[in-house]
Amino acid sequence: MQQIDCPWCGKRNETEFSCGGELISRPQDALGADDKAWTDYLYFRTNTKGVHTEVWRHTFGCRQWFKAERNTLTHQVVNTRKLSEETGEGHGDHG
Amino acid sequence: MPDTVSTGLRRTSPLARYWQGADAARMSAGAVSVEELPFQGVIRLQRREATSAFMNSVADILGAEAPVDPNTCAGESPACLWAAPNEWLLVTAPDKDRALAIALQQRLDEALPGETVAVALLSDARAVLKISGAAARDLLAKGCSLDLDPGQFSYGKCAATLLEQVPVTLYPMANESAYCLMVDRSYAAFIWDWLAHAMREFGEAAKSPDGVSS
Ligand SMILES: [Zn+2]
Repeated sequence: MQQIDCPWCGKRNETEFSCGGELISRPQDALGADDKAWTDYLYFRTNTKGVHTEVWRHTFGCRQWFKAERNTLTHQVVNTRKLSEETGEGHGDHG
Repeated sequence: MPDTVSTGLRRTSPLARYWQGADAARMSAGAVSVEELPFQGVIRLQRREATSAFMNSVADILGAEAPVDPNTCAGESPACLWAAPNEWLLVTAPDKDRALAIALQQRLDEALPGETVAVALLSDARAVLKISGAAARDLLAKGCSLDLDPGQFSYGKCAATLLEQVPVTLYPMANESAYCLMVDRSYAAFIWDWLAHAMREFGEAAKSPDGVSS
């Protein structure tokens, strides 16, 4: 089984975690955002083939959300960081 | 068996059906024993931000600093376990929980007037088990993926993890090869039955738990 490196708890079995999907940003100006911005936020994902950034949660451990880079071809989680830390390579933030 | 608390309600262990008269649930097989620590106090303490005023007030009441390193714990009664950033679990002896929760709440109200702090009594929502003996680690390892090697997981550490797919909090106890296991009340009987079955390989049962032939 794959182990995922929780930014707080360290390496734990993947079964302790849940995936929250691709890392996206909510429209900053919620009232001013048009239908396209909301549609993009709610329904459209880049669906990357390869490594992209997702949010994961250590559900059965410290229960914290964090960022994880995952290869969608191999399912390998290659890098994890706290939400407050910068994401490398600028993936994910297309919202 | 039931304990009467100040409300007048009868307190019943989630493992009551495994009690023998007034004796709390216990079982052993070879070099491992499992016993319920009935009616242990459990308090959850949370704040959005652990400022020094907050940490100092907590230390005043506990008599020790609340640990800030993930998955570490301090003290024994109460034991203070890191549960998440800015969140701790306090484990106390039976009937010490209410007084401790009230003392914490009062001290924090004085130190941080008008600010939000959560002090929640979870005692009746948890079952607390002690798993001890030379085979305790091997027994837990049958259902837990945590690295239980004493070099990694010894007294002073704690973890929330899964045991046989059930969410549990686990920590090594001081000065003995024993672990404290906390599980949600409604999973307690399932975990007890699983332990009863899993421990059979470690030897003859000294006392067979109800409903499980050995
Ligand atoms: Zn964690």
